[in-house]
Amino acid sequence: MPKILLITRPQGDLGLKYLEHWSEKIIDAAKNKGALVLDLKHKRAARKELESVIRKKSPHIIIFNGHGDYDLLTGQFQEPLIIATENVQILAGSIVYAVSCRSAKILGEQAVLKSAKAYIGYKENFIFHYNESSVYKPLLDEKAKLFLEPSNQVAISLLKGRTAQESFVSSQKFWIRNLQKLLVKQFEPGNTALISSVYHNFKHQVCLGNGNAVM
Amino acid sequence: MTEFNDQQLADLSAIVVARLGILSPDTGISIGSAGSFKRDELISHVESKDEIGRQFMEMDWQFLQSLKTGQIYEEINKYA
Repeated sequence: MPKILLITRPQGDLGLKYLEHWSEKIIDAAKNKGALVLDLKHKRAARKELESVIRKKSPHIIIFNGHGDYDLLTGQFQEPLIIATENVQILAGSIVYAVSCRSAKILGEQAVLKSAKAYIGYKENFIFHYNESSVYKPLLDEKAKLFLEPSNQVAISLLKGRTAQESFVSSQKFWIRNLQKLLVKQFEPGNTALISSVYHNFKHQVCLGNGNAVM
Repeated sequence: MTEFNDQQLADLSAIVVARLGILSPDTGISIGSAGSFKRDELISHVESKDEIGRQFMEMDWQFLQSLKTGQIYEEINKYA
């Protein structure tokens, strides 16, 4: 039986566009590992569809790209996909990585209480910088890479068979590596202003639940 | 959110505006569902100290505190 990865990729604004494109690296990595990828892209990133796919396929990993708040994650047109007080139990049995603002604070805690194996996400805003001149080629955006590569590392590491905690630590090391890069080059124009956003994501990224969980 | 008095808020706003000002003008910043902002748009939010500006100021404040206390270097060493 192949491992199953479910990923949501809603559209709607520039931030989501970048997450959608950078998720292609995760999808490629999953396919290279022989995993089955369930890609809920654009209008498929809807609550009804998500619930149906999870019920039928029981994915090992669920990656949410989208907006969020302390108690919810959203999909296309900011439709709530998971609400802590309504349907968080559908995450039971999966390892979740939410590339989203704030959701780890309440929703993540609730998810692991309701038997999600592990929940990796952010307790405050997920922030990234990008080059306006690169918005038509997000994957070539070196500024965005400073943020989205450490983020992707969670999923890439999970797909390699590492535990949730190991994958979290691997991502943290990527954040730190980029912090060091920027601190060393802090006198290059703009770098000191970038550092605080990298540090913010590093600081608020957490791994909840069973750190030994694997895909 | 950290509580600041008016003077502290004005001082912090000036610092954050100066720090944002050294980013290249074609820098965009995505702050989740609050939206994506061009550098100068974000500077305007910080100058007016509105909700978006306050969120960004808080983030910068936390970073500057970590430099002051040395916490950031402890965190770097933890993963080195």
